[in-house]
Amino acid sequence: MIIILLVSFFVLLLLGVPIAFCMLISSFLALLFIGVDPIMVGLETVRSLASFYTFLAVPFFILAGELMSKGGLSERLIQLVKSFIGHYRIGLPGVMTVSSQLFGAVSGASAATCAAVGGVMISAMEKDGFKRPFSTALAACSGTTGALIPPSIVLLIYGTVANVSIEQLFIAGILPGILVGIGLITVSWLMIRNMNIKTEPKAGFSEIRKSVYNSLFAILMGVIILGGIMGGIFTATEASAVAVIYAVIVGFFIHRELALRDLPSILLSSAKITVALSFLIACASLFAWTLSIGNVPEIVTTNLVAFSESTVGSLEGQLSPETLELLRKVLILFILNISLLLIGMFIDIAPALLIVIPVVLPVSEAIGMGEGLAAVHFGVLVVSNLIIGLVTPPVGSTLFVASAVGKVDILQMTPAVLRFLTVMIIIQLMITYIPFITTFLPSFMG
Amino acid sequence: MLRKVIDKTLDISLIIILAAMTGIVAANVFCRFILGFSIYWGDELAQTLMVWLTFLGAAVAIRDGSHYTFSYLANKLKGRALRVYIVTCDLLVVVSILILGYYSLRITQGIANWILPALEISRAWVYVSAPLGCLFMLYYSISQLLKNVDQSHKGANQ
Repeated sequence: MIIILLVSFFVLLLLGVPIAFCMLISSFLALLFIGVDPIMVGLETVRSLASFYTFLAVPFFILAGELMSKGGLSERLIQLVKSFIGHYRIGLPGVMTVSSQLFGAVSGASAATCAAVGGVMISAMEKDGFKRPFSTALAACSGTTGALIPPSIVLLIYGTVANVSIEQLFIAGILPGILVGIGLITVSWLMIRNMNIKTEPKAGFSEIRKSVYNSLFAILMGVIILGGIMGGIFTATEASAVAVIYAVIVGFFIHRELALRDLPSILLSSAKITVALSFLIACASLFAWTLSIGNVPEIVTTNLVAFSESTVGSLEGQLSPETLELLRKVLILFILNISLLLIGMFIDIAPALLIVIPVVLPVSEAIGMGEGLAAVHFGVLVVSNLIIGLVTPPVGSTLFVASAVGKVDILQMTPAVLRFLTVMIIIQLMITYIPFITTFLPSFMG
Repeated sequence: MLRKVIDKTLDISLIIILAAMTGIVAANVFCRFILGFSIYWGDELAQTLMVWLTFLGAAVAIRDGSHYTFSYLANKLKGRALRVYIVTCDLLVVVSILILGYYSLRITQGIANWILPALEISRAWVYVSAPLGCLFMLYYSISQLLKNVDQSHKGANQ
């Protein structure tokens, strides 16, 4: 049964059948094979969706992001960061990275962040002497932090399906997101040493004041969402609804860049983005259920634990039991790091996440990361690990977005991307093995 | 003509459903924080609408080709192999919609006597979105299949 389930899934996947339908057909075949009434195909898909209350936040955050970014949000954020650090040599790469992170605090996805910030910054950077493949690669990599900084759609999906506190996941994602940004700026600093760069003039006080005012309302939205969640005032779902109302008010009455006739198209495009995710979640729930009928998660966990024990076992007697336990955990996490990286390289983040969650959850329990803040740490490390796959050649989806926005071939970007990837992987290892990075901020929550 | 009507109907439904979901949840937040009570059926209605959004939207996603797909292999193929590949893939999508449609219709019938606790209506109102959505998905996937079969004939004759 397991063989039928997995083989049919991967054959269909390679055939180019949409991933949701691959999950449907392979689950159906597996259930048919073991003689379970496949009526579960109908039940599990709908039931799961109807029970995921927290998933409601996904369409709302997408909608709020679309509403806010309708009227030149990226330009305003870029202007803000530029007026502070634009005049340094590392200025523009810094502006690109930091404004991507600020944009990520409004939008929830990396492709949107990369397109919005890259679209403005790549040409601007070329004028000042930055090489186009370099800035396009940076747009892609700094865009990925948009998926980590709250409100993060992928963390929301993880929390919904894995039943981990979304509020804590959101807050836990902040520091890793900032850390990736710092890493990217550092690598950029090393890479631009040989480029002939013109620096921008220093912004005057009035310019700073103007740019702060212009982006104040966008920043305030992030503050309301994060402050509300961190202070325990809102749940993530409530915060998302508040964000939509806030974006409507700002768009209609303060910036006056929204008109009533824009609303249907914004609603429709948000609905379409949502549906690609929610239909996938419905089918993935069925797939996860079928996997559990076939005991796949248990088998994977047992084998992983057995493997780590036999590997570490050779050191028994030389080290204390605590050290052995720690080594065992590190080994399992390392195997996880590698497998997640490989999966993320080939499958887009949302489907990849939905495929791995049912399998890795029992693993997290086996290494004592199944509850409380450890579960939050585990969630962030899984998600941030898969996020790396968004920018790995040859099929990273954010890489494609950047390549289209920057009009640079992926092959040309690859050398720069590989350098950024090195630092992203180092930071991923830090996120994995230093729990403090993720658990520090959520530990203050009520 | 029929296609245009279906296109428009689905688009408008998605817009209305998402607007209604937003309105309900936002109103509920307003009531809870400002007025101090909550609309007890609000969350259930929003979740029901989410299911409707998903299954009607899944048809739109077939129309627009926006379902998540692993397209690495398709990008490598050319000519006859690509045409066979596309038609096979379309056919498999039709088959899976038929499977989902059939079983979701059965579950809808089976669940008709179950009542949603807050809305006090039959759970079938939630589940019927799936067979209905499948109907629209079937329409789009079959028309896409026919179009691709047609094109591959033309391609083969040239």
